[in-house]
Amino acid sequence: MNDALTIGGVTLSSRFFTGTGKFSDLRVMEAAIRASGASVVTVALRRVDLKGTGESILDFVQKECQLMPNTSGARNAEEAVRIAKLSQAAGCGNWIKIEIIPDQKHLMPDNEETVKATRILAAAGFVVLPYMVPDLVAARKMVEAGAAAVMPLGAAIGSNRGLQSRELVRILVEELEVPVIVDAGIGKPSEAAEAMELGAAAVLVNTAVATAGDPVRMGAAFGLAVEAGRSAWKAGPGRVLSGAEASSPLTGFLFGAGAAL
Amino acid sequence: MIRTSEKASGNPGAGIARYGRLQAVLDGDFDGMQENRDPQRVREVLDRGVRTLEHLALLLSPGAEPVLETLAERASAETRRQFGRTVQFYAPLYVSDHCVNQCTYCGFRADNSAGRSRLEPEALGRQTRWLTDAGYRNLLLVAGESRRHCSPAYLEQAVRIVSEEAPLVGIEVYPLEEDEYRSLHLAGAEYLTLYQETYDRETYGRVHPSGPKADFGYRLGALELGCRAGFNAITLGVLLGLAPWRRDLLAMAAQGEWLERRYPGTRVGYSLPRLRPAAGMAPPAFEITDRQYVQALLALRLWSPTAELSLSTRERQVLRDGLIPLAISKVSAGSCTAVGGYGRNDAPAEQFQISDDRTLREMMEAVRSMGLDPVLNDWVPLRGAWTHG
Repeated sequence: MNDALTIGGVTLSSRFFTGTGKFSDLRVMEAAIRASGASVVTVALRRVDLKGTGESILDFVQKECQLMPNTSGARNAEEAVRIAKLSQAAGCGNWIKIEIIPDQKHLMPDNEETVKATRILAAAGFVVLPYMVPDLVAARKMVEAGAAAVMPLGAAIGSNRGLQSRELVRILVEELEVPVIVDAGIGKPSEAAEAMELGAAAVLVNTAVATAGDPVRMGAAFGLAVEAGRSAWKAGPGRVLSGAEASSPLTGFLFGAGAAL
Repeated sequence: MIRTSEKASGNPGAGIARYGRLQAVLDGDFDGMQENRDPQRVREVLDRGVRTLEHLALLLSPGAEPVLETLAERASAETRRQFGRTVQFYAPLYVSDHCVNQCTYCGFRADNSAGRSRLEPEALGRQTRWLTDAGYRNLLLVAGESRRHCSPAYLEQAVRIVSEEAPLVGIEVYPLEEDEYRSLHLAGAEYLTLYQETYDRETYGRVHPSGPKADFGYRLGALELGCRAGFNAITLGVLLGLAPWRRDLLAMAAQGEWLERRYPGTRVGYSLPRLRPAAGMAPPAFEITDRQYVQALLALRLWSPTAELSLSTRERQVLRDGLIPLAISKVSAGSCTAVGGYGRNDAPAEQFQISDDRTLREMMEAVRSMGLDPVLNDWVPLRGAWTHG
């Protein structure tokens, strides 16, 4: 049975997405992306030297990966739209992860501005993946505005705190008809697996790979964890009970020898 | 043009009381904590999490000296978590050394007999291209204080010229009005650096005896105007050596904390230049040792993990190489602190002497050998001339 994820008409080979930030070296980054088997790679357009003639961060993303430029640095919808258009003009394709962050300390995205940018960019033909605070009402507006998927945060960006927004993400997974991709906050492969077991369509992890002791090995570990979590979701986990269920039920006496039937 | 009236300028003026707990710091409310000698109190803060100004005061205290290594471990982990394995690079670009102030520690002070100049458009374009050809993408435009020789209109033109070539442009100039800041921001300047130098009013008055900079409150209020004008980031700083450093750092942190809460759209960063020899300057009155300097930066990093902490070429190579991986997110390299000095062998008058004269390439190599990626380009210019080209 084919379980591939398709977004914006592109069928993806893996449900692990990663990024290009925070690596010690572009070659290490390239090896980590390869080891993880990531199908989608996000790159901050701000890191692409549009005037540069030397080596570009883009040269280190494998051609078979789907490039997903992001609008990091944008503080409102207008800036995000401008970055998206610069990205397209720079030959980075028509996928765009909208990242609108007006809060410089906690780096919380602005859902309201993100809805606006989603509408403009989807109408302009972009495959739009908005990064958001997991809020069902805002997510529905993004879907209505043309988002190809939604990307709720698991915890604050770069925090490695795990799936702190679990309950809110669960509701998105239940209610939305577009893929829900958990982005930001995932610090360990077990947390990526947790998001997948919850029914996320994919997870995006960058910091936890880039800042690991061995980024290549950590990339591979995340790739495996996402596969495991996805398989678990497909398998349908057993019920989670609040207490133990005795294998000899308390009513066993009714069926035992000498029971008066 | 002289602006002293609060109403006329919109500058909050001499409002120490405005900036949250700045008044309390200057009143000495934190003195007990900053003079703490008990390492146990510092360990408790480290175990429970560094959040408040009280915590910062304890990390700055002599009691933290025996646990410096632990501070370093924690700070380096925070730096990696926040900034990854990257370090940003920038270069200062001095555009004018005309100055009407008499800062006793500065080579550009009005009394110094050195000739003055400012870069005219063509020369500025050449200096900018020299820097971008060398690889720089983040340029900090620096000027002395002279509304006559270096007017806001000149600065706006300079920002436009520099931002035609460099994606990220900051300014470190005299305090401006909100509308002037906004014009510079719209022209392409994304960040604003303005050092209060010292929060100790008595010292401030003594080292800034005349010129507009003598007005403590006017300078204090300017960063807030920058926040209102829409700058993406601001950098606060104190010039270590002028006054007792612990209280100055806490005062700076108190103002930074207030600005950060009030203006969440503007990122707050800190810079801690230490006094360096300059022509006609007196030696530092309150020296901070290397060990204390490292402690100060580690403490700031732990207190504000997200803050940009920059380190200039004022510091020596060995100290820079040690500090960068622990707490620093942005460094300058190959800096020249003289107007029009890039690409020249003869040295015009400098603002201060640098201590680390490695070139950009050498510095990038040094950073790589620390296991870090030197990042030159980290901005998409959305304003100014660049995007209209």
